[in-house]
Amino acid sequence: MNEIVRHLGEINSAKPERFSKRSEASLLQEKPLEELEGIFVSKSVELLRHPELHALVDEGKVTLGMVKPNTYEGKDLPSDDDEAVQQVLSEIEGVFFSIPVEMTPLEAEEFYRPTVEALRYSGKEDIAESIIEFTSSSPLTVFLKADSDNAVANWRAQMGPTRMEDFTKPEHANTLRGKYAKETGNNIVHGSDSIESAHREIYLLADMLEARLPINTF
Amino acid sequence: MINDPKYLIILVMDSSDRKQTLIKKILNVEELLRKLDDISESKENERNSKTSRRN
Repeated sequence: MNEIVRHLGEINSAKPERFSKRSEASLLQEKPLEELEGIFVSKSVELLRHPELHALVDEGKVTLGMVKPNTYEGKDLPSDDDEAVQQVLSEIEGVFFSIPVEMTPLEAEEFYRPTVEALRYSGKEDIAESIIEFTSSSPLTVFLKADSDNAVANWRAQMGPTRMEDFTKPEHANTLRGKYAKETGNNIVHGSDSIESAHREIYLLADMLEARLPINTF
Repeated sequence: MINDPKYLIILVMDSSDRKQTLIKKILNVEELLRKLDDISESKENERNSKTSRRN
């Protein structure tokens, strides 16, 4: 496993941290569930806005990915959506953070803004609307993925092509879309298409999570 | 719209052991934050040592 994945994914390594983690865990144990949810979301926002995370994105060592809604509709996937998501995630190396979110239609439109604007500009309003509707239809799982280099390109290669006429070709049979996607409309996974998009989408996810925090968390 | 229960974040899908799963997730994020701080610090140290070598 490459250095950066080891760096980010290695848990329980240093002994002093193990002790501090044990006491942290017992402190957390006493808190009510709602408070724990707030803590998790607030720390996730901190992580997503951490300058070093974005430095790693610039270095091509981290990118953003997503397992799209209704994963169970894919080919050869379990009929239970959670199990289907887990199966897809288990095939992706280097995932060090993931969070399930249900986007509002406005958030989905903002997330896919470059694509949606391009479609509208070219008169394909119906496709733009279907992307927004599908993305906000049910929960999806957003994740961060580490790689030794070229994280954006490597992840997009593992996903496979966007369109059905391409991902069904024999040469893409081993990509995630080749294996699991049935149609372009639900092609199972998403990946930022550039380093700039990865920054934008990570910050957007932070904003979405922050919007869900109770006001008294700050 | 954000306050609509449909759009509340779904933090833990498995409700059977919700609290334990959430605690594990919090500790995991804290660990990641520490790692990122470590990476920042080591880059800063490297920059400082290059600067002092030049001087």
